[in-house]
Amino acid sequence: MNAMAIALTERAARQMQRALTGRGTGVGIRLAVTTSGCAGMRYVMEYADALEPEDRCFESHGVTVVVDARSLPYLTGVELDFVREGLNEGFRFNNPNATSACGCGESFSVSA
Amino acid sequence: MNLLQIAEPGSREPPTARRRAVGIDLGTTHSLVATVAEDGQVRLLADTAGEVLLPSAVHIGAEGGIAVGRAAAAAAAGAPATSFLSIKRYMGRGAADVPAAAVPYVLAAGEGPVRFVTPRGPLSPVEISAEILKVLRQRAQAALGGPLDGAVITVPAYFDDAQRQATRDAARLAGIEVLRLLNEPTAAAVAYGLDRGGEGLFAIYDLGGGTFDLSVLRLRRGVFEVLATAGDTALGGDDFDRCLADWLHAQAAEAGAPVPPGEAVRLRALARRAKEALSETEAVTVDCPTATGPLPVTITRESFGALTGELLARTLRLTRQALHEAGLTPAEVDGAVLVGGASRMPQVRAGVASLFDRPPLTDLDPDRVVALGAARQADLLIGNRGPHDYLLLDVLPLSLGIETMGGLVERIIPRNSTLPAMRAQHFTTFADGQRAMRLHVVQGERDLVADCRSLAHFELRGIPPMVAGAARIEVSFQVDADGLVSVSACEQTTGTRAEVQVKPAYGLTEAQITTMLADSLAHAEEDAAARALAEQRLAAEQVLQASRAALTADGDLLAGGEHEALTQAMARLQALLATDDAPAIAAAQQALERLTEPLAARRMDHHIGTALAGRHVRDLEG
Amino acid sequence: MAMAADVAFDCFALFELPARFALDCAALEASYLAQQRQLHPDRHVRAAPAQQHAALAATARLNTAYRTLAEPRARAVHLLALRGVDAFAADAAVPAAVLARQLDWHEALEAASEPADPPRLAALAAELHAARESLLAQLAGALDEQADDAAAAAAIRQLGFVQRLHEQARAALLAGQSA
Repeated sequence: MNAMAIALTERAARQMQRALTGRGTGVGIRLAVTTSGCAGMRYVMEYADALEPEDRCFESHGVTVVVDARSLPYLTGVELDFVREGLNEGFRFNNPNATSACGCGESFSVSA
Repeated sequence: MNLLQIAEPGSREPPTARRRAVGIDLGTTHSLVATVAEDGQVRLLADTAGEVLLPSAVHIGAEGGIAVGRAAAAAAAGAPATSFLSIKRYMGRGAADVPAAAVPYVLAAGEGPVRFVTPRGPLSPVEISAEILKVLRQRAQAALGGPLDGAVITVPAYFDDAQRQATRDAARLAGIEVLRLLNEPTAAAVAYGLDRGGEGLFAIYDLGGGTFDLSVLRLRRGVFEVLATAGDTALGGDDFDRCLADWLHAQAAEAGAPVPPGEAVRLRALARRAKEALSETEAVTVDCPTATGPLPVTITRESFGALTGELLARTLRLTRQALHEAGLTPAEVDGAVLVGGASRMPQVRAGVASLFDRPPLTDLDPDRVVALGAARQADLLIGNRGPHDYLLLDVLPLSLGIETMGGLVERIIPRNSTLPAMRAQHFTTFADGQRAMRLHVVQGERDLVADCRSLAHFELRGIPPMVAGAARIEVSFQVDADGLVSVSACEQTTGTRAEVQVKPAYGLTEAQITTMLADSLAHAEEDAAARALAEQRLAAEQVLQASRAALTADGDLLAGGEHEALTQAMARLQALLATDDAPAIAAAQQALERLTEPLAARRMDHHIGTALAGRHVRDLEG
Repeated sequence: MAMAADVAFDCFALFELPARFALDCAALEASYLAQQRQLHPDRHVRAAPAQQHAALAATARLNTAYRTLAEPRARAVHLLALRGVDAFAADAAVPAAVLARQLDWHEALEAASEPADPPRLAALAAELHAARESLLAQLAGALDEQADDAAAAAAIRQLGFVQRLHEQARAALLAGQSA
């Protein structure tokens, strides 16, 4: 287990724990970035059922967060929060690495 | 930034594509479909002949074949009983509402929704309208390159619950996912308001083929708020045609050469053309088809105006009424907008101009403006972020009430209430041990139940036995953003619940719709194959696009041979996209993906290196 | 029939406004529209059914509350209801002078309507409008300054009568214009 390079707020951790408990299986939550959208990359959150050799694991407020090696640089220093906006609720990344968010809100780019 | 949800592994969405959403104007005489293109412009979609207006005509052939559009309209003169020209007039109507003598069709026996006898068996207006919608769906799919994700369908603002439900059912039968039913004048306001960045008070005067609507809207800071609406769902351009046809009939009879009954449909068509011509010229001559040959009859613009004066006066009375209900005078309105083909008649323009004391706005084509607004709304609702973000607040056109003692109506939700609207009403039992209660929901402004439209009768069962007056039954009436009504009930002392969906008295039952959907299963298989091909094409196009982008950005990361192999694979996939061979496209796509894998890996490493340059390595140690 | 009587929640709180009769209309509008932008079903078209239903219920409530506060008489009724006072309690007697004035107006309306006499109808409508303004001022005083709930309830009942008659006079005027 690695020390935390990704921070979860308590609310985010609680919500993840609840989701994992509700689902019944899964070693943790996987965070990743994939290429897409107009500004380059976007975040992905899914249940982690197994660990791959290149995965790194972090623990925060009792929740295991899994990140693959390729996504790690983009996610380091990121804080993950769980928020409610009107009737919507969901997770939000606060990324100090992101320099431009695109209009669609789904992708971001990272500057050198 | 959008909020994220935790997804199941392996369910990552493909790169976000524009969703295919259209606006459909399902008109009495013409229908149109429009969409917002990637550049943010609204476009009307045309058929293969380049026509955007689809005549809302459905012809059922002797062998049961269905024709829609121009061909069906042309068939009407020869086969009036099986060519449906203004089917919208019968949407949500009961057999008892349609006088057999007044229609050229043969009515099927039986109660409930009106049905017409055809070579395919009895057909309801919902089924016939679905045929028009199917043609528009196919047109849209061909233009947009795949299955539709959703549509906004417009309805007259003055449509009641039964007519709205019938429209939704028709869309369902046509395989269209309805995002929202949008009122026609509101759609027109969206098209106008967004084009001009307007703020202020507007009156939308919408005289279509078979319906009249008047809506008063306030536009401010991206909110379109309907303040009041009035209208008549049985008053439109068709009535002006009929007026003129009746007059021609009388003229011919007076000249001693009556028009035979078999020529009635042709005379109506001639009357319509004469009406349209009178918008351009001062007088036209119609060759009336009489038994002894064509009889020329001349009509001037002025005499046509006099003939139809009462029809116009009705629309202006409704206009004043809506303004009154919005608490406005004509002078306070910043602009009056003309919508609907029938608003082209010079006497209509003059009447509206004189009421508002200024010329009405006509710069958007009155036949097309509704579809344009509907497309904007569809694009907004489906989540394509276009150039505009706005909100529509529409109203209930007709009051919702229940029957009380003596056949009187108690109003539950008054008309012009902003939607969605909800209201709870309390009832109690009047007899000891009463277990059930009947409620009759009606819509309309009159005080007598008999003068309002009956929406539904329903019974609340399972009320626990109590002494008279002890039960406390809360009935909640709800009208959603489509203007559709639902009712739920709860006995509050015991918590007994009864859920009731208001199914219009003249609507189709869920079972009927299910049967109709099952009947079209053969079609569904064809549709499914077309859908699969379209989806495969889309996926392949996305891979191609990504590959091209990667080559452009990081082509230098590849060795010479790799570069060539990749370019060839891309060309091969591109060529296959022009075919209908879904498996071959899939195979070529996979081959391309295999070739791009090493490039993807190198790109990722390369970019991580770039990102790391400005950071401390210890941040990454973990 | 009072819409506000069955509003089982505090409409002022929904818009974060002080529970007073004097209303900051601009603040009400701003809060209403801001909440509509968030909650309206059009913003949740592709959401799960439960969320769509929540959006519907929330905006229906918002619309009811907005209507209640935007209409002065409904606002007054609601304010009294929040204080535990039913504006329509059966025991309230109408003073004889008020009753006589109401009867006079009624007769004047009938006389000016059949046949329609637009100048007299317009004069009556103006008189009723002035009566309404004066009752609204009384209401503001009774509710916000004197905390005199009984006076407020009396003004609400009179206002109901005056508003209905004013509406009838305006409708008669309109019918006269359209004819």
